[in-house]
Amino acid sequence: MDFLKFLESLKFFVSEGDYVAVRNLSDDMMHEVAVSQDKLSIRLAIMSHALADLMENLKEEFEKEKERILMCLERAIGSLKKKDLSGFESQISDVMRAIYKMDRKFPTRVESVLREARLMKGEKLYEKGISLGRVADILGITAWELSERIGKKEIEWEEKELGKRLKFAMEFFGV
Amino acid sequence: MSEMKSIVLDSSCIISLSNSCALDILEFLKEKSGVCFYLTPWVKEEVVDAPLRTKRFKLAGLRVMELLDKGVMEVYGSTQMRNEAVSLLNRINHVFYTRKFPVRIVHKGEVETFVAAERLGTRVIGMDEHVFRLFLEDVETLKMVLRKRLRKEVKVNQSLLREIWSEYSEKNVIRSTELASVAFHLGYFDPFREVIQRGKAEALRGILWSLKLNGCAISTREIEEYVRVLVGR
Repeated sequence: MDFLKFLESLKFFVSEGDYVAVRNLSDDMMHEVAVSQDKLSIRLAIMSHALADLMENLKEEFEKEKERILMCLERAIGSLKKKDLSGFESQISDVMRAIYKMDRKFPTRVESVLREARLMKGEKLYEKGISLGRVADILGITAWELSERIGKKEIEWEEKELGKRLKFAMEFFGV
Repeated sequence: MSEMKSIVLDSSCIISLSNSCALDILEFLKEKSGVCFYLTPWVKEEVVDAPLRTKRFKLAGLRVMELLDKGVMEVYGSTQMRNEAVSLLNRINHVFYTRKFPVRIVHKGEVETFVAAERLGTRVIGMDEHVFRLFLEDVETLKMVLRKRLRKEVKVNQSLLREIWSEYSEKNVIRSTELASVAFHLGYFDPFREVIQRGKAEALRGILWSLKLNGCAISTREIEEYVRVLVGR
């Protein structure tokens, strides 16, 4: 995905308070992540998912940080236009710091928002056909957490030949 | 090497069993059938070392460690094997590609499990994870899944795929649900009389659904098929 286009859209939707659009934007980014798997895209997808969640559920606290976040996004856009990647990454880190600032007042809430963002993205990546171990590795979560989530999601995996695997297992164990 | 009665377990299989409080199925099966269970060093990292560093999964990690201590499972691996797994991982992750990128679908733990099975001379892998299983069994379906879900044209590097299959023998994948089904057939549930009194079919459904809800990739249709085959309804 074009980072510049992504950030411009993100800034617009954050300024408008449109958390649904921010979440959709995050999902679109994750769609790209399934193929590219680059760390910066993953970071942006998780960051925007967390922003959407905080915009929706911690409105008052979010409003206090909103200007700072918008300023960081504006600077990140400026850095990208100048092809200054380290400046861009530094501004993204500042957005994350703003998110963590809310953490001081709502430690469990914000931490769980970020955790949840990772798990949600993990579910989506697994559904796209990336293996469990690979998804856990990309997102920095454990296979244990992801396994639980995937199970609850009840993704239907169809077998071509019902019972063939069981028959093999029975024979292998000499039953 | 002649085939041994052994299974190399991937973390996904161990995790589903552990989260379903059914790890003792491995001990039961080993006692009943003499089949040896192995895991690789990387899988041990995922199912023992990593959870021991967390609060939430520490107990689960300890339970797996106990099975290693009791000799129910053994760690199998070497530096040479790890190097081979890393090299194979890189190749498998270049089998599928889009216009811009290779699609890196698998992880070192899964590939290391596969390489360990090859080196041990066994054709059986215990794996609940769906993607690597599809890679081993049905590349065309995996290609279709990737194409549909990534909404991109996905191609397969056929020559690379042929090269990989010329170096490795075919493997059979069984999941925690098959292990539980075999254990059920061998009487694993017999001590749980109250459970059995409620109906054998319900007991079997109970364990299979628990494994499914804890991450084992099995369909509802398959669960019903297993109940039909093993209990008759």
